[in-house]
Amino acid sequence: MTPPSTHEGFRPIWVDGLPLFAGYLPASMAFGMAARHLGFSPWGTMAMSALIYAGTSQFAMASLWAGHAPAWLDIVTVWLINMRHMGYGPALTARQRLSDPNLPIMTGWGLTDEVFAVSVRHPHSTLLYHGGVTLVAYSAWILGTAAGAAFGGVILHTLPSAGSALIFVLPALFIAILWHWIQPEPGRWDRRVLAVLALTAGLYAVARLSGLGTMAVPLAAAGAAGADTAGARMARRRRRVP
Amino acid sequence: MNNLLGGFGIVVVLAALGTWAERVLPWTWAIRAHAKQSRALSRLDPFVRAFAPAVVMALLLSSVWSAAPTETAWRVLAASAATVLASWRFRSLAVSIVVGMGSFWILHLL
Repeated sequence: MTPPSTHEGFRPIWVDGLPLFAGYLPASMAFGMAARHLGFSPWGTMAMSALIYAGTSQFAMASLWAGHAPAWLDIVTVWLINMRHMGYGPALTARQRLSDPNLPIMTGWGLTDEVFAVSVRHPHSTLLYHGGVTLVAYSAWILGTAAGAAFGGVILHTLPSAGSALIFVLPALFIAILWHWIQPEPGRWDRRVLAVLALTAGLYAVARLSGLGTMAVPLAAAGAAGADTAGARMARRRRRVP
Repeated sequence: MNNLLGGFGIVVVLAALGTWAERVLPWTWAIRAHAKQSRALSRLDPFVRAFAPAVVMALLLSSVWSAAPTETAWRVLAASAATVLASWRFRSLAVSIVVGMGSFWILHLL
């Protein structure tokens, strides 16, 4: 098999990177505006985005710090919120049979929810693809934070309805990605994925209503994946019994 | 309030180091285990395969949950339906997002 040309190698980066760019700009602008509103300096706001690079936990950290919470609580909260990221690398490895040890070292720092969701659809993530998508997403996050910190108030004053339209970017991205799994080819439905999604929705609702907050995401996902695995194992055992 | 060279800088660096470790270390382990054809990884394989769609579903619900108070729930539902229709018809990530975002915006203006 001949290796792909540079043109073919870069194309998937733009195709997948563009929606990520569009999705990250409003979210990071919102963070930049919120952090400045809470009293953070432009450099402090940029440092959180550049170093932590994890949306929900940045919002949580900013509000905890502004509320004079103890430093250890800020740090542990960020770690706990981002714990779900621990499953992403192993999931990519298993789905795409990855073997390049440079992938996690060079690009693992940028394995966010959305980067994972986009790249896991591919049959095989190369260093070029994963590094490219990661850089596109990261640059959007930094640009958006800077724009939000510098001009957020002016933008919303000029175009008040823009903020409302941008709220739906990330949900739309997730719906489009899920559709790819539900219907991998036109007319072919993956019933097993549908069952996993229904179970996740149920578990998420229960976890969220029980007051588990952002921990509901990893708990619901792990619960549904665990139930699916156990169900498949039991079905295999039943088939073996004559 | 937030001196980068003082306490705030240390908190940001420690929070970032933990986040990087959470992303990089399990992935490094998984690639090593995969190269050695580890039995632990092959046993985990069906779990991590189901985990990917499950976590995206949970992230979708989480983003909708925080973005949609009760009065805008119908708008979220309608825009979600438009996104599904676009995904089914065009099978393109970018087109689906533009359709979803556009319909949410139009419904907001109505």
